[in-house]
Amino acid sequence: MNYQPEADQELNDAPLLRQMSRKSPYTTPDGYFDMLSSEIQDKLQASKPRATPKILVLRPAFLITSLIIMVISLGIYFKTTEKSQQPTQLSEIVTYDDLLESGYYSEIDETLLSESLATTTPSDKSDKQMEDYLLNNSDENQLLNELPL
Amino acid sequence: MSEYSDSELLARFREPDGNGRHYAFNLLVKKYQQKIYYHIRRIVVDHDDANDLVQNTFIKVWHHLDQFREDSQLYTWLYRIATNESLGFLKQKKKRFFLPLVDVEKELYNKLTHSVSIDGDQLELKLQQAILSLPEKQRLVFNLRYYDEMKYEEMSEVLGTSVGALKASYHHAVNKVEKFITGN
Repeated sequence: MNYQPEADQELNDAPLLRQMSRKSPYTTPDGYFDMLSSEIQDKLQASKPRATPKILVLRPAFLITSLIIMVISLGIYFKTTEKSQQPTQLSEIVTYDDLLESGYYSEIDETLLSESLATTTPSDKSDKQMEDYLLNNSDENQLLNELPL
Repeated sequence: MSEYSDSELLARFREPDGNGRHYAFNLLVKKYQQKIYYHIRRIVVDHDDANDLVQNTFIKVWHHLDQFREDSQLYTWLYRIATNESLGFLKQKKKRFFLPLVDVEKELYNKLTHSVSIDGDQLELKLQQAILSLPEKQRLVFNLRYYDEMKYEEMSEVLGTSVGALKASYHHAVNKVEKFITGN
């Protein structure tokens, strides 16, 4: 931005402008420019981001790792617990009385039962007990009709 | 301080060890602070506003000087940042107070008239009033040419306008200002 004679020539048609001082008409407080650079430095220091604590930097990674470990641990825990609690036999969790109360036996197809009985080996129950059971729990006429001739 | 050229300051600022960074920046501020301050002051008129803006300008320079590619001259780059900061400030002012452009100009005019820090005689005051009456872009062109004697090519880098358009704009501005101060 050196002095340019052509800048003066451009003012040939503006004599008043040409004769006026090009010095800035604005004034500043005393010593303003002596202090400005240090004020800018101060502002720069103030605007510098504070050193982030290391724990904050690690936090997301730490959280993700913790979550993964927790999920895996829970998975392993539930899997082992499930296995250890699984009964080995049905009879351990369901008693005969439970079945009677539930009405499970009344829903058994008697035809299937008789077929099953015919194919299975005689049990330790005596004939007399069998007869009594059948007479008490079934229709006599129906039984007669269904017996093979 | 004046023995350092812009490229020397830049090289010092960019030294890999970072030791010269603050030193070079400090020299750069001292080298350009007055020019940048008065450029901003002529746009916003008020000293306090100009003070904030000149500080913001140099803080931006600090943060972006590493990316400065030297395609343009350092001082035109500084002027561009300062101009954008100042125009952005005026724009924000309009938005914040829902002021039409005319009212912002009026406010600047009032500040100029009542400013205790304006120097000079009545003719000087009239000249400043005349400059303020110009459209924003024309005012920028006038100030850069009349006070800073900036070359049109450099002004083109600052304002992003063609040299021809800048010449025409300055010519119109000079005529308007001369008419204003002579009272015609």
